[in-house]
Amino acid sequence: MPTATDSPRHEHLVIERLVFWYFAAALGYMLISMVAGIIMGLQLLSWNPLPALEHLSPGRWRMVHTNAIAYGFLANGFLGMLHWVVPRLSLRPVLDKRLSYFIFAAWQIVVLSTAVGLILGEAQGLEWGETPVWIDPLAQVGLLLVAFDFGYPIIKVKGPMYVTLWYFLAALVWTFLTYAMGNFIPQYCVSGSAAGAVGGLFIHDLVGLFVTPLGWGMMYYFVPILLKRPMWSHGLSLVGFWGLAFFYPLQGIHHFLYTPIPMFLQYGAVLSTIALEFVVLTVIINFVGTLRGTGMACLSNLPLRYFYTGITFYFLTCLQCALQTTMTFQALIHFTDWVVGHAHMVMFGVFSMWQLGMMVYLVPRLLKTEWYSEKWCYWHYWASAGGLCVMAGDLILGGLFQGWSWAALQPWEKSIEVSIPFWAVRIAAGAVMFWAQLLFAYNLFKTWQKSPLRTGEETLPHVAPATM
Amino acid sequence: MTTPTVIQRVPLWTWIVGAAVLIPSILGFANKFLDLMIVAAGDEEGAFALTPIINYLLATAGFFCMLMWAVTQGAFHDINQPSRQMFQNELDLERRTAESLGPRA
Ligand code: HEM
Repeated sequence: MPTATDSPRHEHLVIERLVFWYFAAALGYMLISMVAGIIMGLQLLSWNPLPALEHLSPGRWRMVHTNAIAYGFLANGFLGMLHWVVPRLSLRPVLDKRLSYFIFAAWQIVVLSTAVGLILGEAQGLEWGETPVWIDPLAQVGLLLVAFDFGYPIIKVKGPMYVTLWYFLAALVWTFLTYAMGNFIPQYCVSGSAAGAVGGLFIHDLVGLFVTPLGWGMMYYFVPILLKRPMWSHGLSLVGFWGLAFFYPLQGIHHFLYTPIPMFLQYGAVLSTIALEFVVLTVIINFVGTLRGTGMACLSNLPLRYFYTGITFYFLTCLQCALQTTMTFQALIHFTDWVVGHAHMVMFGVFSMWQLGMMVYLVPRLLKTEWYSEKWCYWHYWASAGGLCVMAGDLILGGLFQGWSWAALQPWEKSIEVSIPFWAVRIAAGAVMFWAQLLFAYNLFKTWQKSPLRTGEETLPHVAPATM
Repeated sequence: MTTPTVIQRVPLWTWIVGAAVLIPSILGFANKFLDLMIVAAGDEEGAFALTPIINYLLATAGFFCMLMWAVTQGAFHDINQPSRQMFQNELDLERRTAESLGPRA
């Protein structure tokens, strides 16, 4: 690990403008995705707001919903975060600042073309890999450039690396490989159940090898800084990292239990999922251990509150996984809204909460001014976390009712009848979450308006005005 | 005068957690590997099962090499050192920024 004694200053390391642009883009895609989610949710209540337009049919909106979240919101948020964290940790700037600007523009083109392609009906027939086939090579090259841009300062680090850098280095390689595996192998190389098995690996690896390492890497950086103390145990952090590296890639097939994929592969996925549960436990213990003796810091400090809420949701989703991976439970909940509840809990409750918390912390630093309204940030927290609790709880419960209805061999329509109230509650909770993000985006806009960077007042090299 | 080497005792719970993580995983992996051998030897269950396993083996082989490299680089000698160092670097960066702002900060 390098020392900062004779190293460059923050302003030479971090391209703050780019970090802010990434955050703004991420929030824009979050809003688009939520509109799409609401349209899809209304369709399930038999109220399609756009009935006459085939291009805007709910099936297409659903794909816009998931793709805008994964590649628009999460990827942009993570890229912004990498621009802040990697140079500060490695004490070196990214490979090339011009390349960074190019990647920003190229990534927005990839995401926007994906949305347009999906609406025009050009989706690739692979869950989470719906990106039209003609965009795949562009996205792949983009990921390679990202790996070079951030990988360079990381591999230049001499001596033992901090766990965050391990996570990021791995994520850069994994994301590139996972994208290639999922988008090209089933499309061009294998078919039938083999393609299904690879698809299983892909959908899970996308969460586990792209989103998870970037998310945890980010937590290992921000939590100690906000708590003003190092992690409780760096050794335990490394157990988490290497555990993820070895066990995660095996478990994707747990999405396809009871399918024609050979049973030994399914049991292998179950076993590695169980192994990973232990690894997750070590990570959670470490973060709870780091809190020891800090009083109520994780409640009184707003960004930390987002982070620890996300960590709690992470624990809950992993607890769910422990149930879901058993064959008995899987028979009940497969294809039900339990899974949709689980997906929202992990994507919004964990990774989005972390990213939003990071934005709450970094935006005042980037814009050199306090938030326009701190109160609105608190409102945002409560409406996001509260809305998500209701939405996830509602869908998880609804999923159980659907599963029991099918298990009792009731007619299909019965299970729809059972689901309607749950779907209605989902829309209400979704509306609250949507309102929260609108408020957040407006707060960001107003903060930007009063920023000295925009008004041309005194420009400070780097300031830490945030009291939160 | 030479400084005596301090041998740190590994706490018992580290062994317990290590065993709890490693034993089921090694068993799972061995079981899977055995099945792979059977499939490779021509079991009728379908050679297509080889695709995800080979993917996995390739990915983890890379990580195994990386782990070995990290070991040889001494990444696990003083295991908490990178954490302390990172924290110190952050403090230094913040301090120098505050200094550059002068009394305005
Ligand atoms: C306004 C709030 C939202 C509403 C109303 C909403 C609604 C929906 C609907 C109706 C579906 C399709 C479910 C089905 O096919 O049965 C869905 C899927 C999904 N949504 Fe949302 N959503 C919202 C926000 C979000 C957010 C913020 C995220 C992520 C950060 C997210 C992530 C997902 C994911 C990952 C899926 C796929 C689930 C699966 O296939 O199992 N949603 N959402």
